[in-house]
Amino acid sequence: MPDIYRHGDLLLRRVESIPTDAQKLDSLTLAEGEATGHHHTFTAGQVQLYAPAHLTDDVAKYIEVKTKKASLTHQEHKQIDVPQGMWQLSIEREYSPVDRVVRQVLD
Amino acid sequence: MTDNPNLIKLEDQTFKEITEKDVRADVNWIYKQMGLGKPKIYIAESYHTKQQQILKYAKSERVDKLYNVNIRNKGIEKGFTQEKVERLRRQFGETTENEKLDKVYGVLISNTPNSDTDQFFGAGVEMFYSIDEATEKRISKFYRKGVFSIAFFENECFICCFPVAVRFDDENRLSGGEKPAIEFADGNNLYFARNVFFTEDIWTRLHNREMSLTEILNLPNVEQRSVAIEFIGPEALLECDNTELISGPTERGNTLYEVELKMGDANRWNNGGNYKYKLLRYGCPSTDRQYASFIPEDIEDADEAMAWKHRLTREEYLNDIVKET
Repeated sequence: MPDIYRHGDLLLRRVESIPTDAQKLDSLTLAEGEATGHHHTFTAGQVQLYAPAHLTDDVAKYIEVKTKKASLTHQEHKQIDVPQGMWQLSIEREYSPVDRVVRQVLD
Repeated sequence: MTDNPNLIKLEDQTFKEITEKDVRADVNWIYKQMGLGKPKIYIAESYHTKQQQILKYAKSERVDKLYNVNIRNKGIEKGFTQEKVERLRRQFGETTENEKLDKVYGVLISNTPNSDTDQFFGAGVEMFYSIDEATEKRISKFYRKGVFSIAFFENECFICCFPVAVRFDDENRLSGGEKPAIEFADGNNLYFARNVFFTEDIWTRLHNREMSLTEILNLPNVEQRSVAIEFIGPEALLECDNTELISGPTERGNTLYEVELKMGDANRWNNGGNYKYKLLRYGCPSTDRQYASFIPEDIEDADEAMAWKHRLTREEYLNDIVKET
Protein backbone atom coordinates (compact mmCIF):
# COMPACT_ATOMS: atom_id res chain seq x y z
CA MET A 1 0.00 0.00 0.00
CA PRO A 2 1.46 3.40 -0.90
CA ASP A 3 2.33 5.76 1.94
CA ILE A 4 0.50 9.02 1.27
CA TYR A 5 0.11 12.05 3.53
CA ARG A 6 -1.96 15.13 2.82
CA HIS A 7 -1.17 18.44 4.50
CA GLY A 8 -3.64 21.02 3.20
CA ASP A 9 -2.88 21.57 -0.47
CA LEU A 10 0.27 19.44 -0.32
CA LEU A 11 0.55 15.72 -0.92
CA LEU A 12 3.53 13.60 0.12
CA ARG A 13 4.00 10.22 -1.52
CA ARG A 14 6.76 7.80 -0.47
CA VAL A 15 9.30 7.02 -3.17
CA GLU A 16 12.10 4.46 -3.41
CA SER A 17 14.79 7.03 -4.12
CA ILE A 18 15.48 10.64 -4.98
CA PRO A 19 16.92 11.30 -8.44
CA THR A 20 20.67 11.87 -8.26
CA ASP A 21 20.40 15.09 -10.28
CA ALA A 22 18.01 16.71 -7.77
CA GLN A 23 19.44 19.88 -6.20
CA LYS A 24 19.79 20.25 -2.42
CA LEU A 25 17.81 23.15 -0.98
CA ASP A 26 18.81 25.30 1.96
CA SER A 27 15.33 25.49 3.43
CA LEU A 28 12.86 23.47 5.46
CA THR A 29 9.79 25.10 3.93
CA LEU A 30 7.81 23.07 1.43
CA ALA A 31 5.48 25.82 0.26
CA GLU A 32 4.42 29.34 1.19
CA GLY A 33 1.03 30.98 0.74
CA GLU A 34 1.04 34.17 -1.28
CA ALA A 35 -2.09 35.74 0.16
CA THR A 36 -1.76 34.57 3.74
CA GLY A 37 1.95 34.37 4.38
CA HIS A 38 1.32 30.94 5.87
CA HIS A 39 3.80 28.18 5.14
CA HIS A 40 4.24 24.43 5.38
CA THR A 41 7.54 23.92 7.20
CA PHE A 42 9.37 21.09 8.93
CA THR A 43 9.99 22.25 12.49
CA ALA A 44 11.37 19.11 14.12
CA GLY A 45 13.45 16.20 12.91
CA GLN A 46 16.29 16.15 10.44
CA VAL A 47 15.17 16.85 6.89
CA GLN A 48 16.81 17.62 3.56
CA LEU A 49 14.74 19.08 0.74
CA TYR A 50 15.61 18.80 -2.94
CA ALA A 51 14.41 20.57 -6.08
CA PRO A 52 13.85 18.30 -9.07
CA ALA A 53 16.32 18.93 -11.86
CA HIS A 54 13.47 18.95 -14.36
CA LEU A 55 10.29 20.69 -13.36
CA THR A 56 7.21 18.57 -13.83
CA ASP A 57 3.62 19.05 -12.82
CA ASP A 58 3.75 15.97 -10.62
CA VAL A 59 6.78 16.70 -8.43
CA ALA A 60 7.39 20.04 -6.76
CA LYS A 61 10.13 18.88 -4.40
CA TYR A 62 11.75 15.79 -2.95
CA ILE A 63 12.08 15.25 0.78
CA GLU A 64 14.49 13.08 2.72
CA VAL A 65 13.50 12.54 6.35
CA LYS A 66 16.65 11.37 8.06
CA THR A 67 15.33 10.92 11.59
CA LYS A 68 12.65 8.48 12.72
CA LYS A 69 10.07 11.13 11.93
CA ALA A 70 9.86 14.85 11.15
CA SER A 71 7.11 17.26 12.11
CA LEU A 72 5.44 19.21 9.32
CA THR A 73 3.61 22.28 10.58
CA HIS A 74 1.43 25.07 9.24
CA GLN A 75 -0.39 27.98 10.85
CA GLU A 76 -3.82 26.47 10.15
CA HIS A 77 -3.36 22.78 9.46
CA LYS A 78 -2.71 20.27 12.19
CA GLN A 79 0.84 18.96 12.48
CA ILE A 80 1.69 15.69 10.81
CA ASP A 81 4.69 13.52 11.61
CA VAL A 82 6.28 12.29 8.40
CA PRO A 83 8.13 8.98 8.87
CA GLN A 84 11.76 8.42 7.94
CA GLY A 85 12.38 7.87 4.25
CA MET A 86 12.17 9.57 0.90
CA TRP A 87 9.13 11.38 -0.38
CA GLN A 88 7.96 13.34 -3.34
CA LEU A 89 5.85 16.43 -2.91
CA SER A 90 3.05 17.46 -5.20
CA ILE A 91 0.84 20.50 -4.90
CA GLU A 92 -2.93 20.49 -5.32
CA ARG A 93 -4.11 21.46 -8.77
CA GLU A 94 -7.23 22.89 -10.28
CA TYR A 95 -8.73 23.37 -13.68
CA SER A 96 -9.41 26.66 -15.36
CA PRO A 97 -12.38 26.28 -17.68
CA VAL A 98 -11.79 29.81 -18.92
CA ASP A 99 -8.23 29.19 -20.06
CA ARG A 100 -8.73 25.41 -20.40
CA VAL A 101 -5.54 24.70 -18.53
CA VAL A 102 -4.62 22.82 -15.39
CA ARG A 103 -2.77 24.91 -12.86
CA GLN A 104 -1.34 24.67 -9.39
CA VAL A 105 -3.55 25.95 -6.59
CA LEU A 106 -2.47 29.31 -5.18
CA ASP A 107 -3.14 30.04 -1.55
CA MET B 1 2.00 39.54 30.09
CA THR B 2 5.16 41.39 30.87
CA ASP B 3 5.75 43.52 33.93
CA ASN B 4 8.39 45.62 32.17
CA PRO B 5 6.90 49.13 31.80
CA ASN B 6 9.24 49.95 28.92
CA LEU B 7 8.04 47.19 26.63
CA ILE B 8 5.66 48.57 24.03
CA LYS B 9 2.24 47.12 23.24
CA LEU B 10 0.31 47.43 20.00
CA GLU B 11 -2.85 48.52 21.81
CA ASP B 12 -1.03 51.54 23.24
CA GLN B 13 0.02 52.81 19.82
CA THR B 14 -1.68 54.80 17.11
CA PHE B 15 -0.70 57.16 14.33
CA LYS B 16 1.11 60.33 15.38
CA GLU B 17 2.50 62.78 12.90
CA ILE B 18 6.28 62.68 13.14
CA THR B 19 8.59 65.48 12.12
CA GLU B 20 12.33 65.31 11.69
CA LYS B 21 12.68 67.47 14.80
CA ASP B 22 10.87 64.80 16.83
CA VAL B 23 13.29 62.04 15.95
CA ARG B 24 16.56 63.69 14.90
CA ALA B 25 18.36 63.37 18.24
CA ASP B 26 17.37 59.71 18.68
CA VAL B 27 18.30 58.77 15.12
CA ASN B 28 21.67 60.46 15.50
CA TRP B 29 22.20 58.53 18.70
CA ILE B 30 21.29 55.19 17.06
CA TYR B 31 23.67 55.91 14.17
CA LYS B 32 26.40 56.77 16.65
CA GLN B 33 25.89 53.35 18.26
CA MET B 34 26.43 51.81 14.84
CA GLY B 35 29.62 53.82 14.38
CA LEU B 36 28.04 56.00 11.67
CA GLY B 37 27.52 59.72 11.15
CA LYS B 38 24.24 61.63 11.04
CA PRO B 39 21.98 60.37 8.23
CA LYS B 40 19.41 62.16 6.15
CA ILE B 41 15.97 61.32 7.53
CA TYR B 42 12.91 60.47 5.44
CA ILE B 43 9.55 60.04 7.14
CA ALA B 44 6.64 58.23 5.47
CA GLU B 45 3.07 57.79 6.59
CA SER B 46 2.82 54.24 5.24
CA TYR B 47 5.01 51.23 4.70
CA HIS B 48 4.31 51.40 0.96
CA THR B 49 5.43 55.04 0.79
CA LYS B 50 8.54 54.26 2.80
CA GLN B 51 9.52 51.54 0.33
CA GLN B 52 8.96 53.99 -2.54
CA GLN B 53 11.15 56.53 -0.78
CA ILE B 54 13.88 53.93 -0.38
CA LEU B 55 13.76 53.20 -4.10
CA LYS B 56 13.96 56.88 -4.90
CA TYR B 57 16.33 58.29 -2.31
CA ALA B 58 18.56 55.53 -0.92
CA LYS B 59 22.04 56.21 -2.25
CA SER B 60 24.04 54.16 0.25
CA GLU B 61 24.12 50.58 1.55
CA ARG B 62 21.65 49.12 4.02
CA VAL B 63 23.31 48.65 7.40
CA ASP B 64 20.76 46.66 9.39
CA LYS B 65 23.40 44.02 10.06
CA LEU B 66 25.70 46.65 11.46
CA TYR B 67 22.89 47.79 13.71
CA ASN B 68 22.28 44.31 15.04
CA VAL B 69 25.91 43.40 15.53
CA ASN B 70 27.03 46.65 17.12
CA ILE B 71 24.07 46.96 19.42
CA ARG B 72 24.30 43.31 20.41
CA ASN B 73 28.01 43.68 21.13
CA LYS B 74 27.38 46.68 23.35
CA GLY B 75 24.92 44.63 25.35
CA ILE B 76 27.39 41.80 25.70
CA GLU B 77 30.10 44.24 26.76
CA LYS B 78 27.77 45.38 29.51
CA GLY B 79 27.44 41.79 30.68
CA PHE B 80 24.05 41.15 29.16
CA THR B 81 24.00 37.46 28.38
CA GLN B 82 22.18 35.72 25.55
CA GLU B 83 20.02 34.09 28.19
CA LYS B 84 18.81 37.49 29.37
CA VAL B 85 18.14 38.59 25.79
CA GLU B 86 16.13 35.45 25.20
CA ARG B 87 14.18 36.03 28.41
CA LEU B 88 13.34 39.56 27.26
CA ARG B 89 12.27 38.27 23.89
CA ARG B 90 10.02 35.69 25.50
CA GLN B 91 8.61 38.27 27.86
CA PHE B 92 7.53 40.36 24.90
CA GLY B 93 7.02 37.63 22.35
CA GLU B 94 4.56 35.58 24.35
CA THR B 95 1.98 38.33 24.44
CA THR B 96 -0.96 38.24 22.08
CA GLU B 97 -0.02 41.71 20.95
CA ASN B 98 3.28 40.48 19.61
CA GLU B 99 1.57 37.74 17.64
CA LYS B 100 -0.62 40.40 16.08
CA LEU B 101 2.39 42.52 15.27
CA ASP B 102 4.20 39.62 13.66
CA LYS B 103 1.15 39.08 11.49
CA VAL B 104 1.01 42.73 10.48
CA TYR B 105 4.71 42.80 9.58
CA GLY B 106 4.42 39.55 7.66
CA VAL B 107 1.56 40.71 5.48
CA LEU B 108 3.11 44.12 4.89
CA ILE B 109 6.28 42.49 3.65
CA SER B 110 4.31 39.98 1.56
CA ASN B 111 2.01 42.53 -0.05
CA THR B 112 4.19 45.58 -0.61
CA PRO B 113 6.26 45.82 -3.79
CA ASN B 114 10.02 45.96 -3.18
CA SER B 115 9.51 45.20 0.50
CA ASP B 116 12.29 44.30 2.85
CA THR B 117 12.67 43.50 6.52
CA ASP B 118 12.92 46.47 8.85
CA GLN B 119 13.58 47.14 12.46
CA PHE B 120 9.90 47.08 13.24
CA PHE B 121 8.15 48.57 16.19
CA GLY B 122 8.27 46.05 19.00
CA ALA B 123 10.62 43.76 17.13
CA GLY B 124 14.35 44.10 16.92
CA VAL B 125 14.49 46.58 19.78
CA GLU B 126 15.35 44.08 22.49
CA MET B 127 19.02 44.56 21.68
CA PHE B 128 18.73 48.10 22.97
CA TYR B 129 17.08 46.80 26.08
CA SER B 130 20.13 44.70 26.66
CA ILE B 131 22.45 47.68 27.11
CA ASP B 132 21.19 49.44 30.20
CA GLU B 133 18.01 50.85 31.68
CA ALA B 134 18.63 54.38 30.41
CA THR B 135 18.96 53.09 26.84
CA GLU B 136 15.87 50.95 27.26
CA LYS B 137 13.85 53.97 28.36
CA ARG B 138 15.18 56.10 25.54
CA ILE B 139 14.31 53.55 22.85
CA SER B 140 10.89 52.94 24.32
CA LYS B 141 10.24 56.71 24.32
CA PHE B 142 11.50 56.97 20.75
CA TYR B 143 9.12 54.27 19.46
CA ARG B 144 6.24 55.79 21.42
CA LYS B 145 6.58 58.92 19.30
CA GLY B 146 4.78 56.89 16.63
CA VAL B 147 7.64 55.02 14.97
CA PHE B 148 6.37 51.85 13.32
CA SER B 149 9.42 50.73 11.40
CA ILE B 150 12.87 51.95 10.46
CA ALA B 151 15.17 51.06 7.60
CA PHE B 152 18.79 51.95 8.20
CA PHE B 153 21.02 52.90 5.31
CA GLU B 154 24.53 54.22 5.79
CA ASN B 155 23.62 57.79 4.88
CA GLU B 156 19.81 57.68 4.91
CA CYS B 157 17.30 56.67 7.54
CA PHE B 158 13.73 55.82 6.50
CA ILE B 159 11.04 55.93 9.14
CA CYS B 160 7.47 54.71 8.78
CA CYS B 161 4.78 56.17 11.02
CA PHE B 162 2.42 53.94 12.90
CA PRO B 163 -0.81 52.98 11.10
CA VAL B 164 -3.96 54.89 11.96
CA ALA B 165 -5.63 51.58 12.71
CA VAL B 166 -4.92 47.86 12.64
CA ARG B 167 -8.10 45.78 12.77
CA PHE B 168 -8.58 42.15 13.78
CA ASP B 169 -11.59 39.89 14.13
CA ASP B 170 -12.51 37.91 17.24
CA GLU B 171 -10.00 35.22 16.31
CA ASN B 172 -7.13 37.71 15.98
CA ARG B 173 -7.18 37.48 12.20
CA LEU B 174 -6.60 40.61 10.16
CA SER B 175 -10.09 41.68 9.12
CA GLY B 176 -11.37 45.17 8.66
CA GLY B 177 -14.96 44.62 7.58
CA GLU B 178 -15.77 47.49 5.27
CA LYS B 179 -12.66 49.35 6.46
CA PRO B 180 -9.05 48.51 5.67
CA ALA B 181 -7.50 46.03 8.10
CA ILE B 182 -4.30 48.09 8.04
CA GLU B 183 -5.07 51.76 7.62
CA PHE B 184 -2.27 54.25 7.04
CA ALA B 185 -2.58 58.03 7.24
CA ASP B 186 -1.65 58.60 3.59
CA GLY B 187 -4.29 56.21 2.27
CA ASN B 188 -2.00 53.36 1.27
CA ASN B 189 -4.28 50.91 3.01
CA LEU B 190 -4.34 47.13 2.99
CA TYR B 191 -7.57 45.18 2.92
CA PHE B 192 -7.83 41.80 4.57
CA ALA B 193 -10.56 39.42 5.47
CA ARG B 194 -9.68 36.46 7.65
CA ASN B 195 -5.96 37.19 7.14
CA VAL B 196 -6.36 37.06 3.36
CA PHE B 197 -5.25 40.06 1.32
CA PHE B 198 -7.50 41.75 -1.23
CA THR B 199 -6.89 44.74 -3.44
CA GLU B 200 -9.07 47.69 -2.55
CA ASP B 201 -11.00 47.38 -5.81
CA ILE B 202 -11.87 43.71 -5.32
CA TRP B 203 -12.65 44.09 -1.65
CA THR B 204 -14.90 47.12 -2.20
CA ARG B 205 -16.82 45.38 -4.98
CA LEU B 206 -17.11 42.20 -2.95
CA HIS B 207 -18.23 44.05 0.15
CA ASN B 208 -20.78 46.03 -1.87
CA ARG B 209 -21.98 42.73 -3.34
CA GLU B 210 -21.13 43.90 -6.82
CA MET B 211 -19.14 40.79 -7.78
CA SER B 212 -20.92 38.04 -9.63
CA LEU B 213 -20.50 34.42 -8.65
CA THR B 214 -18.64 33.86 -11.89
CA GLU B 215 -16.17 36.62 -11.12
CA ILE B 216 -15.65 35.21 -7.65
CA LEU B 217 -15.02 31.73 -9.00
CA ASN B 218 -12.49 33.19 -11.40
CA LEU B 219 -10.42 34.92 -8.73
CA PRO B 220 -6.94 33.46 -9.31
CA ASN B 221 -6.12 32.98 -5.64
CA VAL B 222 -7.83 30.07 -3.91
CA GLU B 223 -7.77 31.76 -0.48
CA GLN B 224 -9.39 34.90 -1.88
CA ARG B 225 -11.96 32.75 -3.62
CA SER B 226 -12.68 30.89 -0.42
CA VAL B 227 -13.16 34.09 1.56
CA ALA B 228 -15.30 35.56 -1.21
CA ILE B 229 -17.50 32.47 -1.35
CA GLU B 230 -17.81 32.54 2.41
CA PHE B 231 -18.61 36.22 2.22
CA ILE B 232 -21.50 35.70 -0.16
CA GLY B 233 -22.28 32.44 1.67
CA PRO B 234 -21.53 28.90 0.46
CA GLU B 235 -25.23 28.32 0.00
CA ALA B 236 -25.21 30.96 -2.72
CA LEU B 237 -23.73 28.29 -4.96
CA LEU B 238 -26.72 26.07 -4.38
CA GLU B 239 -29.14 28.89 -4.87
CA CYS B 240 -27.71 29.78 -8.24
CA ASP B 241 -30.43 29.03 -10.79
CA ASN B 242 -28.08 27.21 -13.09
CA THR B 243 -26.33 24.98 -10.55
CA GLU B 244 -27.10 21.26 -10.60
CA LEU B 245 -25.90 18.68 -8.07
CA ILE B 246 -23.98 15.92 -9.88
CA SER B 247 -22.43 13.83 -7.09
CA GLY B 248 -22.21 13.86 -3.29
CA PRO B 249 -21.89 15.06 -0.67
CA THR B 250 -19.68 12.02 -0.10
CA GLU B 251 -18.44 10.67 3.22
CA ARG B 252 -15.25 12.66 2.63
CA GLY B 253 -17.25 15.86 2.33
CA ASN B 254 -16.93 16.39 -1.40
CA THR B 255 -19.77 17.64 -3.59
CA LEU B 256 -19.69 18.04 -7.33
CA TYR B 257 -21.88 20.51 -9.17
CA GLU B 258 -22.43 21.49 -12.71
CA VAL B 259 -22.88 25.21 -13.14
CA GLU B 260 -24.18 26.76 -16.28
CA LEU B 261 -22.91 30.20 -17.17
CA LYS B 262 -24.59 32.45 -19.63
CA MET B 263 -22.83 34.83 -21.94
CA GLY B 264 -22.42 38.14 -20.22
CA ASP B 265 -21.76 36.58 -16.83
CA ALA B 266 -18.07 36.91 -17.47
CA ASN B 267 -16.55 39.03 -20.18
CA ARG B 268 -13.78 36.50 -20.81
CA TRP B 269 -16.35 33.97 -21.88
CA ASN B 270 -16.12 33.82 -25.63
CA ASN B 271 -17.59 30.51 -26.63
CA GLY B 272 -20.57 32.12 -28.24
CA GLY B 273 -23.25 30.69 -25.99
CA ASN B 274 -24.02 29.06 -22.68
CA TYR B 275 -21.23 27.12 -21.08
CA LYS B 276 -21.31 24.35 -18.49
CA TYR B 277 -18.52 23.67 -16.10
CA LYS B 278 -17.89 21.44 -13.11
CA LEU B 279 -17.41 22.83 -9.66
CA LEU B 280 -16.18 20.84 -6.67
CA ARG B 281 -17.01 22.01 -3.19
CA TYR B 282 -14.81 20.51 -0.50
CA GLY B 283 -13.79 21.16 3.08
CA CYS B 284 -10.41 21.50 4.73
CA PRO B 285 -9.98 18.62 7.23
CA SER B 286 -8.28 20.94 9.75
CA THR B 287 -10.43 24.04 9.62
CA ASP B 288 -13.67 22.78 8.03
CA ARG B 289 -13.42 25.85 5.80
CA GLN B 290 -15.23 25.35 2.50
CA TYR B 291 -13.43 25.78 -0.80
CA ALA B 292 -14.61 25.66 -4.37
CA SER B 293 -12.58 24.60 -7.35
CA PHE B 294 -13.10 23.99 -11.04
CA ILE B 295 -12.71 20.41 -12.25
CA PRO B 296 -12.32 19.04 -15.79
CA GLU B 297 -15.69 18.55 -17.44
CA ASP B 298 -15.30 14.79 -17.91
CA ILE B 299 -15.24 14.00 -14.16
CA GLU B 300 -18.60 12.85 -12.82
CA ASP B 301 -17.80 11.73 -9.26
CA ALA B 302 -17.08 14.06 -6.32
CA ASP B 303 -14.38 11.84 -4.72
CA GLU B 304 -12.78 11.24 -8.09
CA ALA B 305 -12.70 15.01 -8.54
CA MET B 306 -10.93 15.46 -5.22
CA ALA B 307 -8.51 12.64 -6.12
CA TRP B 308 -7.77 14.39 -9.43
CA LYS B 309 -6.87 17.57 -7.56
CA HIS B 310 -4.14 15.66 -5.71
CA ARG B 311 -2.99 13.59 -8.68
CA LEU B 312 -4.37 10.40 -7.15
CA THR B 313 -6.68 7.73 -8.41
CA ARG B 314 -10.06 7.57 -6.71
CA GLU B 315 -8.97 4.33 -5.00
CA GLU B 316 -5.75 5.88 -3.70
CA TYR B 317 -7.67 8.87 -2.40
CA LEU B 318 -10.21 6.73 -0.60
CA ASN B 319 -7.89 3.97 0.71
CA ASP B 320 -4.21 4.94 0.77
CA ILE B 321 -3.96 8.27 2.55
CA VAL B 322 -2.40 7.56 5.96
CA LYS B 323 -3.24 10.98 7.35
CA GLU B 324 -4.74 14.22 6.07
CA THR B 325 -5.01 17.50 7.93
